[in-house]
Amino acid sequence: MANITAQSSRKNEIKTLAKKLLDLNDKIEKTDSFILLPGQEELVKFIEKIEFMGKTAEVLLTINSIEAEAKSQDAPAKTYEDLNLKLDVVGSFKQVFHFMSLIENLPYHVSIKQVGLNGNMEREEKVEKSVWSGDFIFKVSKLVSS
Amino acid sequence: MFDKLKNLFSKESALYKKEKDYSMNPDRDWKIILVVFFIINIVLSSFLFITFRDLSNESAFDIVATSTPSQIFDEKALEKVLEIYSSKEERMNILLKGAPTSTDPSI
Repeated sequence: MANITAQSSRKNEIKTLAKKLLDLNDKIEKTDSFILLPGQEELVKFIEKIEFMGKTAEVLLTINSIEAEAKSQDAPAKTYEDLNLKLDVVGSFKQVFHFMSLIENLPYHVSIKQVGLNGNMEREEKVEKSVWSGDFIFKVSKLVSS
Repeated sequence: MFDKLKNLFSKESALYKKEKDYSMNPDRDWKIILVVFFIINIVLSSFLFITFRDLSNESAFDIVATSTPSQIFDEKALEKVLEIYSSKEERMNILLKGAPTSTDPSI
């Protein structure tokens, strides 16, 4: 009798654990989507996303460089690497600010390292307007293929 | 009234009588020892019987399941991370629909 009770309680425990693991798996998968997956295709998709953001903010976007952060030889092997991106944008203050807000809220593990804004007054058909240029350096985490 | 108080502190007081009951009484002491011995015997034999029964059923070797699972990782931290990125996604969707309010500092 005692054996049956113990077995049934173990069975219940296993069921509860399985349910919990399934729930956790969903959450972990969602968390993984916030880090760039390994492979060139994923990187291309990410760059296309940034270009789309540039179009949305109506800025003139130039991607200067994308490079993996140099690792020291003594550093332990990591499952992810940091990519450094350098971008230049040109547009009105509102457009550049819009683009900056979009970069800030990218649903990836992004950290902005440097932002530079420079405003100039330009004369266009006897009308003066301010043109802003911004250069951004930010890093994004990317999973390393095993 | 005085007599009553006198009786209270006299040798025949209730306290004195109670003390008197603890006097030597071998018959009563033997009875007490015998009763205690039998009670201990009954308790011990019933405990031994239950242990023997459990051992014969092998249920004595069952490990009692503890309800404290080991903590592999911090689930609350994971939920917090999800919350942060979900709010980022929400803000991103709002920003894709329209630019935030800003004023050009050069004007």
